Amino acid sequence: MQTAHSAIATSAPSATGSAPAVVVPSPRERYDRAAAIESTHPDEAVSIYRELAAGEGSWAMNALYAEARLELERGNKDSARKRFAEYLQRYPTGPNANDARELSAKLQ
Amino acid sequence: MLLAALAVAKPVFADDEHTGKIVTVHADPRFVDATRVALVSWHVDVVASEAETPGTNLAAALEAARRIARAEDARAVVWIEGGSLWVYDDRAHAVAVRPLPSQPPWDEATSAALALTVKTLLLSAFEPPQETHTPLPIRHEHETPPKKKTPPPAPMHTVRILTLAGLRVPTNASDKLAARFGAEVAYFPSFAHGRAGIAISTDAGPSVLVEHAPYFEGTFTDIIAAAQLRFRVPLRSWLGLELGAGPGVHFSALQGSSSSLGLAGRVARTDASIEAILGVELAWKILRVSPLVGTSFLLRYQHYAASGVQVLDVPTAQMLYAVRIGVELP
Repeated sequence: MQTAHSAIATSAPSATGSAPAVVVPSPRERYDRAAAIESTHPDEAVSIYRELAAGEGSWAMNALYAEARLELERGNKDSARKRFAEYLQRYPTGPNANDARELSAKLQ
Repeated sequence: MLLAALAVAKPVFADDEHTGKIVTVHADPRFVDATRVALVSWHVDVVASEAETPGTNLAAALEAARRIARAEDARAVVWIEGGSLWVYDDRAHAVAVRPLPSQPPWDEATSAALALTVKTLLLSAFEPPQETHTPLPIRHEHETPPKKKTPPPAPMHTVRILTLAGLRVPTNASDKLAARFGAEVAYFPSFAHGRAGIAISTDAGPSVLVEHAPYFEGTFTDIIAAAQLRFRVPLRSWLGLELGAGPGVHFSALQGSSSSLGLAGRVARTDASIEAILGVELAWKILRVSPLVGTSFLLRYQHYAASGVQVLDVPTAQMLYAVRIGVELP
């Protein structure tokens, strides 16, 4: 699994000697990274999920549910409840909407 | 209860050792990869299998998934079939089903979302035994440690709706065969894991001809209603045996006339019976086709006479040869 640091690599200097280009990890790479460190660095995983969830698109949607689920697993019920609610508000027909409803109901 | 599972699941997966294995059967490679990513923090191996999928017949699927789990030494089996995601938990011997957001193949993001559903459903499959629970390192201190083991994924109850067409023999009437058509509703509760249930059924058919010239000419009709206990024995994911037995009621009537005696009329009876069936059930998605043999044993003797002349002696035991076709719904 890629680490956070190796995900941000620098390219080789060009023949013209211009400044090295920074390769920004894709949302999918950041998501995979967060999934990999859920048990070892849960705070960092939540942070990555939260950054992704602040964006748009499918990976933002997945990250929001993953964050809510992880928060529940960590015992952070209030945070989990808010995140499930946010998921259902933003993605009421999302692929994890049924999961979110079920877990959210258990939290009530 | 689920929260308890969520809270206690972590210590198991925090170990460096692999803590388990799940098998995906005939799954899309992207979905398999996404499941590996989702479960990597739990140190769970995800193995792709090309074994026959357990299918959608709940009772048969449970057995087939159990065989796969035992053969692969896995705690869970995941497969996609019938527009649903199926997750079998070997520890609980239970299966959980979720509708798919779309049909495969999926893109990476959809595969990841589906993998999150698997992760959600698998919590209890990888929950440690109650006596080995340890405090969760990252749980807030003010929270009370969970004391109750979480329930396994709820097994499904199913309802089966079938129609029937067949023949009853013997009739002891002029028509040697009686065509029969019927319907049945069966319920298999979740706690029986699809192996036992109850059914109510009815069958009826065109009247059979009763001729005893010159004394009598008429027709005999018989409508049967029954309630049965049903037991299913899965043999394959698509094949099973079904046994059933229970009480029944025959609503029968003989009507006709005697030209020689100058009589005409109708007599109706209601008689109790014992009904039983033995069927072979073929399953494809939600469709169920079942050739069956049944028997109906009347608890009262049915003897019809016209002015002392016997015109019909209904057989105490009748056989039914039929085919049922219908659907099974979760």
